[in-house]
Amino acid sequence: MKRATILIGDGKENSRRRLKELLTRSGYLVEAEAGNGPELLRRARTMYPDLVIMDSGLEGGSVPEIAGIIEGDGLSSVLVLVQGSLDRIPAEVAHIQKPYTEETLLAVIEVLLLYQSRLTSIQRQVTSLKDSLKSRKLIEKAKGILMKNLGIDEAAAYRTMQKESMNRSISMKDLALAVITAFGDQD
Amino acid sequence: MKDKKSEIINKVKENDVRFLRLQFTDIGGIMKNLAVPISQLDKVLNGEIMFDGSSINGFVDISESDMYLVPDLNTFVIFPWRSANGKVARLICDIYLPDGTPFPGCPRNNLKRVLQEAHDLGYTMNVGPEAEFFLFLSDEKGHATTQTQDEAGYFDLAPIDLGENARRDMDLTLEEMGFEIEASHHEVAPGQHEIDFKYGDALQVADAIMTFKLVVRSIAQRHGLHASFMPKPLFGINGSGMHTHQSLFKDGQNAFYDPNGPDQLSDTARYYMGGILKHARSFAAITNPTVNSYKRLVPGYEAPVNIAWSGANRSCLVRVPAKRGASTRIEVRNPDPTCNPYLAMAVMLIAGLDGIKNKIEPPPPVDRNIYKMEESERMALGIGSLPGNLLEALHELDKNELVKSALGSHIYERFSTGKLVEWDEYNIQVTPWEVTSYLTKF
Repeated sequence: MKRATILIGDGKENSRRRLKELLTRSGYLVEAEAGNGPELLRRARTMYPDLVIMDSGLEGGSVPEIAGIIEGDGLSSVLVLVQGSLDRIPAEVAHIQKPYTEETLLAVIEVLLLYQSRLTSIQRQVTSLKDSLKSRKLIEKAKGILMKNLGIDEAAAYRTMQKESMNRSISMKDLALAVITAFGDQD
Repeated sequence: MKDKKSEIINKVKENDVRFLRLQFTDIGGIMKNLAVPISQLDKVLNGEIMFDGSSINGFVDISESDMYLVPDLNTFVIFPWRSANGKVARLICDIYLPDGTPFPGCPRNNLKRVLQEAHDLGYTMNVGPEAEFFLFLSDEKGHATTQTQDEAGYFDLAPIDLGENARRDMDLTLEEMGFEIEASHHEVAPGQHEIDFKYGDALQVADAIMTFKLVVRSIAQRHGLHASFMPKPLFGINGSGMHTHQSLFKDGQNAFYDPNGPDQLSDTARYYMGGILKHARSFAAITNPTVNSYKRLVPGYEAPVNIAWSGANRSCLVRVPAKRGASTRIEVRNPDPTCNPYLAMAVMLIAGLDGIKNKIEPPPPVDRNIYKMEESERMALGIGSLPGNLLEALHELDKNELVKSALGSHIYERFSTGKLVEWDEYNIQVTPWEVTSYLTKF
């Protein structure tokens, strides 16, 4: 299995080093570290790590906002390590409070990564379903245009399109688009 | 009107918009926001939202502080980026006085007034801006630096250009908001970028410029970068301008195009240009309104200094791009992105209209590099130069009643008072250059 990549965001060099040491020892790949908010954003955008672990004391921007940008733009998942009051961290941002035991942190990371991989596969399915729904609609439309313009029935229109798509080595969707463009948007 | 309102109400419901930002631009060209919760939507749409005008710099005296924000319903747009408190939409507003009259200190109202003058002559103004900006790194406090990524030593990362990525994200966001992006590219200087969007009606484009700056800054921030529209952030490196293409249309036709005219330009185009060149020294304070603006307007960095025009020569104030037909236009090259676009368009338009009304012939085109001419040659050709600094520009503006009329007395007074203070503040500073040059020498 591929080692999960992690980006650490913490202003204090000591705690960065300690966290990196723990994560590396536990089999993760700490790809980079950032000492402030803007740097964390820049790093996250260039490496798309599997997980960003950031300290709640990170400077250079509001922590919930930075977490929101990283997750909202689909760059990575975020885990915030909270020092002191939990009030500042909204419920939708994954976080644990300090102090924590090593076991807790590692368990939380594993759970986050697990759910992230499930989410990713669901998202992939949604995208592919949306795609096929879209091509289905286009094909239906093109079929309708052919039936009307050539005076043929549905099965014949479909066969015509299938044949043309194979003859031209283009997908049914592209063929449908070509038909729609050629005959104009009639309705 | 009613349809527009219900359309907005529907969009707000469909997208679960939580906040509305009511935007307007102050005289200094800074966008101001009043954020109201969506529960106030009806009041907003009916123009019943009041604010305290005296809290806005240079707007009004304390005695006349109650103002109304009347939204332009065509400007409704939902910000595509995610924010912590749910979706946010905006409306650009005009400012009205409690008696229901347009507030003369509102730059947007003022531009409408000047556009009406053009309209009375049968003209509509089209504008296409080309705004340049720098993307700098933000530091550990989230503050801007003047460091670009190119010099920041990102050797440990994959060869990804953070700036290019951010700009692509800006393009996509702008497109989602209805902009048509015509060009988007890296500029001459390291970290410098340019995004051009499609020309349009002057008022719409002035709105679009304000929106554009907001989007560029917001997206840069999301990338850990800081976008700056400062005209000359770094000595010795090309500055950022906002070349402004402009043309007049009459009866749906481009009034600058005449297939039988010299260079296929119409009299209208030549006279408009004549007016621009005549008044350029006076409107510079508006199109180049900061101390720093004049550090960009120096020879040698593709910024215009000389008041002349040409077909291709980029050292001139006005260039006439080769395209003809409906695309016939002139490009005024001195404005920079710190200008208030509403005011900048008003003054350039009034200058051009003066040219048309009084048939001001522009001098012959100058097709040589003016930077390389001797002072005496320039004198012989009657090529003047733009003001050398903000103070000179303000004096020139003060002498020109026509250009002042494009601002109205309210805006002019506030503008010049504020800018003189800005100049004085600058003038009493002891700069690093002075220390380096004089400290040990004397």
